[in-house]
Amino acid sequence: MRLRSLLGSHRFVVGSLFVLGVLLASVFAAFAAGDPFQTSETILAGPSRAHPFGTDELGRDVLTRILNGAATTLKVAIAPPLVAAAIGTAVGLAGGYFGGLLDDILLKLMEFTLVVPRFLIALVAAAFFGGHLWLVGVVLAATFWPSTARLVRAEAISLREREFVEASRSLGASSLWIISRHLLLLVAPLVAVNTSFQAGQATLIEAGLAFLGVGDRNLVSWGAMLADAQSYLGIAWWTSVFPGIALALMILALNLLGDGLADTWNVRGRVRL
Amino acid sequence: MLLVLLVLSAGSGTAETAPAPKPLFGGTLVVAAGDPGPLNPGITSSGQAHPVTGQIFNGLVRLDRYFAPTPDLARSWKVSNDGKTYTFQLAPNVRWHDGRPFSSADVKFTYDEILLKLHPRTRTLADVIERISAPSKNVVVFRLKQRYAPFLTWLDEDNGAILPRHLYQGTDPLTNPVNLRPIGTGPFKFESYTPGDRVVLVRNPTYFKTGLPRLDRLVFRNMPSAQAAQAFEAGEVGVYMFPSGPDALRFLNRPGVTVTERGREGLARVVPLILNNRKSPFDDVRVRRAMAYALDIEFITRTAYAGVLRPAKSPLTRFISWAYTSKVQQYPHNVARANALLDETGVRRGSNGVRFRTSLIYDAGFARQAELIKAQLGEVGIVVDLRLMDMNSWVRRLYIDKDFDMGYTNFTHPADPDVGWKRIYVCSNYVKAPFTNGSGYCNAEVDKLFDQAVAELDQKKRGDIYKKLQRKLASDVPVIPIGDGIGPWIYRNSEFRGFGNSGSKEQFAFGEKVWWTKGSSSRR
Amino acid sequence: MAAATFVLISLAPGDTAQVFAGQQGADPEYLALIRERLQLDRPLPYQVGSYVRAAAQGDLGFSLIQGRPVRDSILARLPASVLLAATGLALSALLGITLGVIAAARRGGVVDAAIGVLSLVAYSLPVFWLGQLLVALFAVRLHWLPAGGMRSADEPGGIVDVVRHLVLPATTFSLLLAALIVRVTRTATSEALVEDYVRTARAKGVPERRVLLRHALPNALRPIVTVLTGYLGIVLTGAVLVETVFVWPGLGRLLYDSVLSRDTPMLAGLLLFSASLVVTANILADVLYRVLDPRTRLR
Repeated sequence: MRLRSLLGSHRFVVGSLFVLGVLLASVFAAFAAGDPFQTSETILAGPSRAHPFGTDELGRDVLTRILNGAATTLKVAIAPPLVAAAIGTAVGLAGGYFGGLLDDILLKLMEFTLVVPRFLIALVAAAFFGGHLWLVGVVLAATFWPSTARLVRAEAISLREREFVEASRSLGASSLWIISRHLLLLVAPLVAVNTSFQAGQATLIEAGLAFLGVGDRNLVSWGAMLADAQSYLGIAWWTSVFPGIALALMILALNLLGDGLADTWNVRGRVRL
Repeated sequence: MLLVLLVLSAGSGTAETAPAPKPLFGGTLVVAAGDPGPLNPGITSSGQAHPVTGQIFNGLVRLDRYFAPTPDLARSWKVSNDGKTYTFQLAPNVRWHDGRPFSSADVKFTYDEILLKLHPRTRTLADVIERISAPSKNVVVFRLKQRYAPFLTWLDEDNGAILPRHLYQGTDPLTNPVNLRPIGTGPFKFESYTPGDRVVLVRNPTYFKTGLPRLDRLVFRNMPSAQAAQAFEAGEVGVYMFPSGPDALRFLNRPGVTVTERGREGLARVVPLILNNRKSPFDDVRVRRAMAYALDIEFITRTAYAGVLRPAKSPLTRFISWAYTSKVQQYPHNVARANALLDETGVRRGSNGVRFRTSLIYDAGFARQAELIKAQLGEVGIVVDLRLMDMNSWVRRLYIDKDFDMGYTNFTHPADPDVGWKRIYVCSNYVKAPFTNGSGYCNAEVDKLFDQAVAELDQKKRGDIYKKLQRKLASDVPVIPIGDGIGPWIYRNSEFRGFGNSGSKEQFAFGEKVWWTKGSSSRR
Repeated sequence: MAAATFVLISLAPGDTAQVFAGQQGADPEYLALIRERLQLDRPLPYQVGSYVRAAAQGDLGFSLIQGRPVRDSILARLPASVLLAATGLALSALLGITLGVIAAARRGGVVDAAIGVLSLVAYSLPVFWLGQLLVALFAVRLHWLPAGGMRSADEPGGIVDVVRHLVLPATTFSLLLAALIVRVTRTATSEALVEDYVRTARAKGVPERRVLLRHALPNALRPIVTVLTGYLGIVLTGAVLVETVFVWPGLGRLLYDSVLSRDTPMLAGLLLFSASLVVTANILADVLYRVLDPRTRLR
């Protein structure tokens, strides 16, 4: 029933189809597409039959690079938000349900991590310690979870006073049972929506870091491609336009996905983009 | 389309080709540059600061295109027979921008208290200088501990700007607020500095070189590459100081625009890929040679440097022409040869085709170069892990901790081989400090030749020693020379003339002689 | 907060002395000298202690890279940042609220759907790419607007001149925020439109336009304030990307430069400043909630 209503949401369908497409592209790239670092004498050539998206300043095929860059984007878009969702949900539920000192400590911790914009934290970390993808992932996960926790906590607080929770409790249900059986399911839609929006943000932040020149150059990144293209805006539009479209579409797809979920589960407005 | 190799040195359409018209007066020249930071030339060797401070301050001498000293604040000089005493006659009636008279006391103070203590480069001269005296208002005498051939090349504004004693005496030169509203002797006076945005300078009407400067104002705008190119295109900017390779190509052969390396010779260098010679397998010269064969420096310079650097044919830059030779061991791109050499050393390919794994540390501006090195070494079975570092961590890894395999970044070789070049190779410079001998190469014969060269005052004989050194270093390849040159700067010759007359670091001094083609024929 | 920032930055490898030395092969004694000046040779707890003590008195230290006290550097860049941020916030509020109300009024219709899609697309555009495209189009191709900077090279100053420079960065900057506000406004206004008091108003024959603006929109102000003040806190230092693309001489760019030059006092000062802005923005939000509360307004 849920699935049917989800499929009824155009946004969800379009969004997830595109993300699925990117996933397939990265799989395809890993097996079939060429080496994204392979240079050639064909420098800054416009789109043609041999190079549908043209070549860059080192004679590398832009399409191949975009396909290979999909994997980088996906890793960042998927792993850190999922980790953050797990930690954030656990912490938020615990804090919201039990309250007290634990909650106070969590609240302080959340406030602290929410004070400095996560892009800045990621920028400083990447610049100081080298922009390895895993490092960026860790920073993202570390800065995403507090906002997830805050969301879940607020929900848990309102839920713990509900009648069915009271009822379970009076029937002798343990806290753990209540949390995992009732609350978890009830906050799940909220977390899912939040996580897909965070995936969009993660994509944007990775690209932004690479654009500023602090990304991992062993991997192809759409953001780095845009940074390199900056010098050739006037003479080779394809080096900027295609990776930019790929990036924008990816973020759009993740946001559509989140939007679709929000509409379906009617949690719109409670989770901000 | 971009397979054009820049032929820059003589310049396409420089002002010199036409019979020189009479200079006109007035006008504002806008320069696209970087953010200079503190405007005290005595405490920094920053390439962003000196284009500005060079217009405000003078050194004792200025270096011409071939690095020969010409008068600046010093009108003339004499060298004693033993080669250890330099006596400078200063220009008379020079005044600081605040009206106070300039004298030999300023020179002595600047060297004793600022340059020899705080200038990152010049302070090494303290080992050479025995004492400085100022016997009269217009005479300064430098007494050296030993014969030191490059001495005069140290005395220009870049390395030896003379600062006002009356404003710095008794203060901390690093934090003195005068650094943000400098007072000099130069052709332009400081007007304002908005960090991150612009520096405005105005004509010094009482400049000691009569009739100069001709422009009324100089404005330095902080503009990174993409914006600078657009502003130059739109005519908002007359000089584009540090164009990226693609931008240089873009304006090449454009009517009314000069793209030239002339006036930047003093900054030219060979950019090397640094190998850790104290680490296996780079301790084997055959491996290093094989890598030199594996790298296609022609492709790297043509693409990653967009052709503004030439493939290096020697470890020394061609711009130091009196010492340069290309008659040294060459390593033309040859994958088969590289593979054969590597096989010979026993660094064989494994079943997966990999000979060995290694890493390259580089800083943010050199991503393209790093990616190319990775791709090209990959062809001969050397797998390279790219490790981006900020400049700071890069320096620490390579020079302080010596914990690296290969390293790549920018480099400079100021003017004399003894100053910028020797430090990369001599054993005594394998120390824990930035931009020293990073490879750990150590060869007693090389050290001895460098010592001989610095005491040889005859330039021809001295040049021969450096040629011998280039042959030795090309054969040992402690570092792999990649690109040679400095890259051009760009200016509008349709609107501004008088470039090409201010020596090998004209980029730091052009304001003095440049004039505006729409100016008036006389000073109002 | 100050201590934490300072420690984090100090723990990173490398230090300012090396950067300050430049690329010319400074000797170990020189580095030692600069470290001593910067007190980098003291033990970390001592450095932190003296930093926090000074910061408490408003002294954020001296930046050798900038050649002036940290506070002065921040103050010098502040006007540019404020100008961009204020314009961006105002523009996005105007655009966002207008479109959001229109979408709510026509909810379910084509206009609503179009605004919805547009706002989602706008929200998904990476600012640095959007900036690139705008520069390529309006500056490089059409020569309508300058490519970057805040004032023209020559004879700077006129308001018109600054405004011309402001157009592209402010547009880029505000588009994303406007998209967010559109969504928040639409949701909150739509919710209000089905509330009892709105129905009552309608039943009394209040014109639809007035219902929207006087009755439904105030309900949406609270979430809008949340979004705007949430941004206010991070906007000054968070504009790194926009300021980089457009060479805007603001705090974001200063922060990026300080990261690259490992300018510890500058960076610590900026992060501290940024954090105090977030706190201020939160206080401001609380005040605004009170002022905007429909209950207090209707009285």
